[in-house]
Amino acid sequence: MNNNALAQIRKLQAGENRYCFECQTGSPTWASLPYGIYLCYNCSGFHRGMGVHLTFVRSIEMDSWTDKQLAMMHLGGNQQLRVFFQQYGIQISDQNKWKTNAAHYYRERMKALVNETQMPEEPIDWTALQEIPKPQIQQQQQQTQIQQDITPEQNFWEQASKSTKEAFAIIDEKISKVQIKEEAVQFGQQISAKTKQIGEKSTKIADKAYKSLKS
Amino acid sequence: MGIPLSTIFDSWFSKKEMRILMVGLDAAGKTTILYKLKLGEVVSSVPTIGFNVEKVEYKNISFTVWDIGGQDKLRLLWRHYFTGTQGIIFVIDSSDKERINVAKEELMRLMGDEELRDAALLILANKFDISQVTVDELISKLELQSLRREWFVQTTCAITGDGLYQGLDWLSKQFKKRKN
Repeated sequence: MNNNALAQIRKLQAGENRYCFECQTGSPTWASLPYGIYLCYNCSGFHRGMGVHLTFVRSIEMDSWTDKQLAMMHLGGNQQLRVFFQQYGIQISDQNKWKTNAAHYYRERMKALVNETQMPEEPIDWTALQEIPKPQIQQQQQQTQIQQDITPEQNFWEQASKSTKEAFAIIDEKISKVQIKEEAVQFGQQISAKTKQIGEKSTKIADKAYKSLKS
Repeated sequence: MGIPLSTIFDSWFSKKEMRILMVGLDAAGKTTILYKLKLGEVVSSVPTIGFNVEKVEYKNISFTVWDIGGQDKLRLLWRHYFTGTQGIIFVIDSSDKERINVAKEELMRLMGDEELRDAALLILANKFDISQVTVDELISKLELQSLRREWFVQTTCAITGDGLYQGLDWLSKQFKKRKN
């Protein structure tokens, strides 16, 4: 890594930046770039699990830093974020704080400052949780690449097996939709009713047995 | 006499070993994948400094999976684990659009290594459930078409375990193919 970066970050680690933003452990060696804050090893693990849309973790010692990433650290800081959260009534101890509109705004603002682009619009409700866009794409099946060229015969068989599979899938779907589903539902209801009866009966019997034993 | 009976017997019943190297950028989910396969549960993981290694038994194959830390500086250490590797699992964070290019560069560097020339390449497109990409996009962004070896992309979600065993299925097929 670029030693200059390490020196720069070390210089920034004064005041509140000497402690982990999340748990106040001293001498943090990790950082979350979108906020320019410092984290301890354990909290860096927690942050990594949240996903890059919410927080992006770098190791101060084990990662190389680009100028833009360094700029994030210069712009941000633990105290600044703490004051920001408090200003909008967001508890620092609340694990959901990273999902709020406020946090989203903060990230966007940092990005705009570093990239010198337009500042984001302020949210109406700062404390509300940000709406996460649902993935547009459905889960896809795995795909593979076969290196040899596919011969026409192979192609034919693949096509044939594919269409057969599709046809079966359609038939399966139809069957399951119409009859079996209804039957299964009825059957399920019957079973649950029976189980309930049996359960009640056995509770009564157990009660009786218990009482007789007691007396 | 020809082949001793025990050899045949062994080839049917004994566990075969496959050495797997699991690498990828930091926070892609390598350790979470490893322990989901090993323990069937999600361990809350901290960044891997060094490596984790576990044996995972599946379909009569014992996979020795080496999970190596992915931080920038640690990537220089990957090559020390190359010897004897039969399969590579390259894990990517599908939701990290900004670093797909970095992932590609690291992958290409791996693929250029002589020691990994014969290793099968399984790409696990992890965190696919929260991503906004398609497999085709990933294939083109990672420039997989340019590779002169067998590869396979499997979408996964390490938290639920979706796709992990399909990935191992492909690896075991590759392994059997190579043995014959």
